[in-house]
Amino acid sequence: MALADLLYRCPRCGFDPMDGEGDDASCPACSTRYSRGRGDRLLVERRPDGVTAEVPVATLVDLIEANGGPLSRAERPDGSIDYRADVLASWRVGEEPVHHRGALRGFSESMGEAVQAVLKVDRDGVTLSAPGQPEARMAFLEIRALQTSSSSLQLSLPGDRLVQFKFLSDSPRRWEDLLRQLLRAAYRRAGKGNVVEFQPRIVTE
Amino acid sequence: MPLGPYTNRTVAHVSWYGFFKLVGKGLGYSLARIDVTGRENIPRSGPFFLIPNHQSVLDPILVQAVCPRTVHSFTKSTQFASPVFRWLLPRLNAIPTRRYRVDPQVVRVALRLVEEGRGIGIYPEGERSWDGSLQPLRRGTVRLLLKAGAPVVPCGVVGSYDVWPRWSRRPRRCGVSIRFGKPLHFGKHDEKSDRERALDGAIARLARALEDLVGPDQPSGATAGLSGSPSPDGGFVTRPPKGAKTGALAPEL
Repeated sequence: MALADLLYRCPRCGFDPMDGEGDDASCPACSTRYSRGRGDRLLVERRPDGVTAEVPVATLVDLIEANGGPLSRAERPDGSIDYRADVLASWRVGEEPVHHRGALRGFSESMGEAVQAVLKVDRDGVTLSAPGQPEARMAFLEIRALQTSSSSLQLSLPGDRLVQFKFLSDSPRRWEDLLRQLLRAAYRRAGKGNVVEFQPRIVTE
Repeated sequence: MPLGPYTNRTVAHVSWYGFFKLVGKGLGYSLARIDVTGRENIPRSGPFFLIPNHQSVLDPILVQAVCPRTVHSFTKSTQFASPVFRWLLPRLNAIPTRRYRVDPQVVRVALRLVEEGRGIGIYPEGERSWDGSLQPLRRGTVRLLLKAGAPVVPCGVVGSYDVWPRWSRRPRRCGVSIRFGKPLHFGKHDEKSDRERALDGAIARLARALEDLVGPDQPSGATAGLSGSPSPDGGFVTRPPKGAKTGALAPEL
């Protein structure tokens, strides 16, 4: 992953997406540069005046949210949501028991072969399209859990199904925020309450 | 001759865990200047839960390397996918934890370890923090603490985000402080209704203990989503509201 995965939108001016590799990110619109600072801070170099400051990462993340978060790039002028990304998608094919010294310690999922696919999201759910395979539609109200794992996202589905997405050209952080926000909104629209937890199952209050 | 005050093991009994603990210590000290406080808060015998915050992939290595007792840590099940980790992690006493469903097996293993008087490590945020702040604590984790009734040792890890944040591909050498807090005693709650009644209070207490250990300057979402929990007080730094302006949040920008 890279700093631009965390700062997928410029905290200063709100432009989305950001440029950058590794521990550096820059905004194509306002030219502000971001890099690793001390502690939980990032070094922010404002352009064109070159003023630099160390700003807490949490503050910058809040500014991304204040500037539109993941939604404004996904939202169309007519108010609909239409956003997509290339992913490597894999489905769980089984569970493997893990033993140690003769005792069962637990289970781990074994995932099937990863296939390149396009993940699309709208207001009601996500759709996975892979060449030569039927589209898989996952409505938000059917999703049982949403969990992140490093640079991947996993969705738990009815029928004990599990699918994992590894993002090839987009920020996993953006997708985590986006799916959580849309899922929360879908639950509210359906009168199912406020989602307070996404894993190991979606919990509302 | 015993190896230390927390064990009656001798050199001849050093396990894979002990070996990799030494390796982890070497790795940890090569990546970070480590400062440890509160080791005396780890019970010398009997069961306990070790509950650290989670800022970096290094946290389990660093915490287990400096903890004076052996810890069996909940580890996300995806880590067991590769053959190398599938062999290694059980030898580090890792307990595979399925996060895509409520995992009854992990509860059974944890309760058995409590009966045997072992130490169990759980990262209650469920995943590394993206921005270094404390994330909301998983309710299921705290339910398990209430069911088991063993002492809970909160552990603040400060600085590992600086060494290797989640979004970075490479670590850099910085200072890391590992602070073991005083044990919390929630009591044993056998009945589900008792656990539910005690849940919000226990989450708030544990979150506050972690907040105190990681320092007041760390922003927190640890109590987010609590129903009926006390309002954040001096120990919590409130995140700014959605829609706040850049200048108000970060005047330097």
